[in-house]
Amino acid sequence: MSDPGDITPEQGAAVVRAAAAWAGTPYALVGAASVRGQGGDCSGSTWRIFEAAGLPYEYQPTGSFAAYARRSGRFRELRADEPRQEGDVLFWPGHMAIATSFADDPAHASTPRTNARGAAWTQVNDMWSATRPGGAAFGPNATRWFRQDAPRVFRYVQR
Amino acid sequence: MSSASARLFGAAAALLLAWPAAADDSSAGAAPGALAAEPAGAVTLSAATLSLDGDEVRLALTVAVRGSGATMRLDLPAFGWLGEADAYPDRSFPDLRLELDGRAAAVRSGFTATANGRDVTEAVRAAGVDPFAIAATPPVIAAPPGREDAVARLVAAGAAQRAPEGLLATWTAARWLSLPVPAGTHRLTLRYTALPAFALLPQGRTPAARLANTPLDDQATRACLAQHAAAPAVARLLRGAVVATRFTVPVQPADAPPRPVAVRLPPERASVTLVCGAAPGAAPRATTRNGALRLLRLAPARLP
Repeated sequence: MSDPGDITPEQGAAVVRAAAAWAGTPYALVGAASVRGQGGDCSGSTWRIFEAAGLPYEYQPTGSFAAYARRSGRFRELRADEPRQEGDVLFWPGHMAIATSFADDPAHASTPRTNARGAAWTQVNDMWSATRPGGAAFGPNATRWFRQDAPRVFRYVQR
Repeated sequence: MSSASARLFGAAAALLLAWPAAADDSSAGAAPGALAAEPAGAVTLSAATLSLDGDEVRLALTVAVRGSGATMRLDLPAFGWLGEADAYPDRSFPDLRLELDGRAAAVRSGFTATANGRDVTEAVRAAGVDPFAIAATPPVIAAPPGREDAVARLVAAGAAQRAPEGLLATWTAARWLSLPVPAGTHRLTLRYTALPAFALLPQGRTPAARLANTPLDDQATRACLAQHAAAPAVARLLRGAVVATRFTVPVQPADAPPRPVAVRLPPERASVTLVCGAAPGAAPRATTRNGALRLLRLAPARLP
């Protein structure tokens, strides 16, 4: 169930399209100085993506994002029983990413992988995300294999 | 020397658990710990020199060994599968090398593994699987033929889980190394790639306040930053956003009086490395209860 202030599914889809435009951007730990196509980290790319989708907020590093969401009312944290929507923010200590089902983007919905023993497997993706220093470029990723802990989910609120 | 003071390195593994596993914007890092003499009191440390070049640590210790049959043991941090977003998914320090008097030391190594609070070391060994398969994503294990019963015991113990991707390791493991040291005075050298803590410190606040909400935020690091903030090179860096990287290197017995440590750093152009706890004009000393020395590297946060 959505709240009256929630962004619409269409606005969420715009966030996802803006995230897709970041695909291939190299990782750089630069926060607010993140630039699409040049380099960026998770907090900087998320901030720029929402800005590009017409949903601005004050830049927050991951350390202060949850507190900012509460304080500003700009994002609300979803309850455990609420379904995710396209463009929600997935938040962990030290990381944030953009949720998507890739329903409208089948090319990025899965990634063929090979495990350490050489066996092929298919990763089912559910977010657009920066990675880590020295890691892969911004791209589609799977929460299941990205982190061991489950994310909290935040949704942009219109005022 | 007391039993406790026989430890040449602090139990820095505990640091690993002080902050949730974090990736991307920050990491609490991990450090080797607990190199201890066995029997207690058999080994004393007389000098230490730490070299840090990039993330490469070289620690040279001069030790005096009393009697025969002594060994030195190094315990590395325990970790489980962390996910591929983690900056340090392998915390077994696979590249750690020990040299005794300039030669590669004959080191014995092993591991301990736990699952659901129980020791599953023997179960992992019986299954014939790599204990550090947990460093890969997914953490798939494959037992040699004929080990089906051993694998079933792993699953029953909660140390492995069957999944569409294969049999996944769900245990926590820690590596240990043991080195026999003959009587006499020796030069012991450790080399390894550090797994330092790091965080982006945004622009526009006081140096100490920038550490807030990062895994670097503790009293010692705040004091270190404050102590050096007025130095021209540091002040220049702190005008903008910086990436702070903190190295915690055990350099002496955990509970022994702090000893001077010689620190060697290569010339730096863009970054500055601060040796924490060093009074002006004095040799640095261990600054943590675990006998570790901390160094804080500051580098400008900028696009490549």
